[in-house]
Amino acid sequence: MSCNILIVDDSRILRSAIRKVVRCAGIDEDRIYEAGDGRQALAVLEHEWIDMILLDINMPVMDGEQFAGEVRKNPDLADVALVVVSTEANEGRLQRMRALGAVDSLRKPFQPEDLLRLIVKLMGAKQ
Amino acid sequence: MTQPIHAIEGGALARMVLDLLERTAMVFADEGSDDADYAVPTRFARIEYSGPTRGTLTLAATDGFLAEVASSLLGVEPEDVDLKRDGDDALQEIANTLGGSVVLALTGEHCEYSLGLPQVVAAPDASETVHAACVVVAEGGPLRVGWCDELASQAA
Repeated sequence: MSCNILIVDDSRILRSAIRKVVRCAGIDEDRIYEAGDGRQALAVLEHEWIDMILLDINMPVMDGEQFAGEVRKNPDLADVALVVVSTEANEGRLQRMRALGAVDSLRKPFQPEDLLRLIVKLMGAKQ
Repeated sequence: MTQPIHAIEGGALARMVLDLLERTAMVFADEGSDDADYAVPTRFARIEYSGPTRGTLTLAATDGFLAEVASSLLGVEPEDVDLKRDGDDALQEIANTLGGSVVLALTGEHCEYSLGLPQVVAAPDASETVHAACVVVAEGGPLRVGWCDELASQAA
């Protein structure tokens, strides 16, 4: 699939595990980007066209909610599919993420197959 | 509407740990016994949560356990794992994911808790109260988890 995906998670090891799943979805290695927090993710978005963001919420520096708020302010990023991949269980916070444009969510712990299905579904819908 | 808060027992804590290890890292482990003579933990992490109550999870793992989990997540051999970097990262991710499972178990789907960030710590505070604990044992070694919550403190 010709999609660019950005993985935003403060855990390097989890980003690596998610990257493996994204590759299984048929995304080329050079189309996968990573960021360790929201601020780093915004820097990636300044230079790369991204179709889907797999976004953790609970991160240092700039968390997922703050990041989603920044993305929502930018009309150039209106078409980016924002997917929450997080341990977050707080219903109020998840509602705020949906209000900020999150199109779907996957709660940790998840099986790789769950994430794979979600990516294929959303990327299929975009193409 | 305020949800009733459920206490967590050691068995339930162990099932959460086993589930997350299997789902996240494809690491299969078994619940161990508190009084068994397992290898001594060498790496420690904790995560706090707040909301209707405040609580803490503490984790203690051996290098072997973390090498197994990190190697599975990274897709490398256990001997190629950098324990300082990848082992600590794996332990924090386990703490983070387990924290999410615990706060969900406390109140159910309408969760009002917020998780802090997981932290690697030098050693556990021996004076800290633990209301439920478990040990799970994977091929690489054991992982010990303790849970402390002010709700359980009030009930005690």
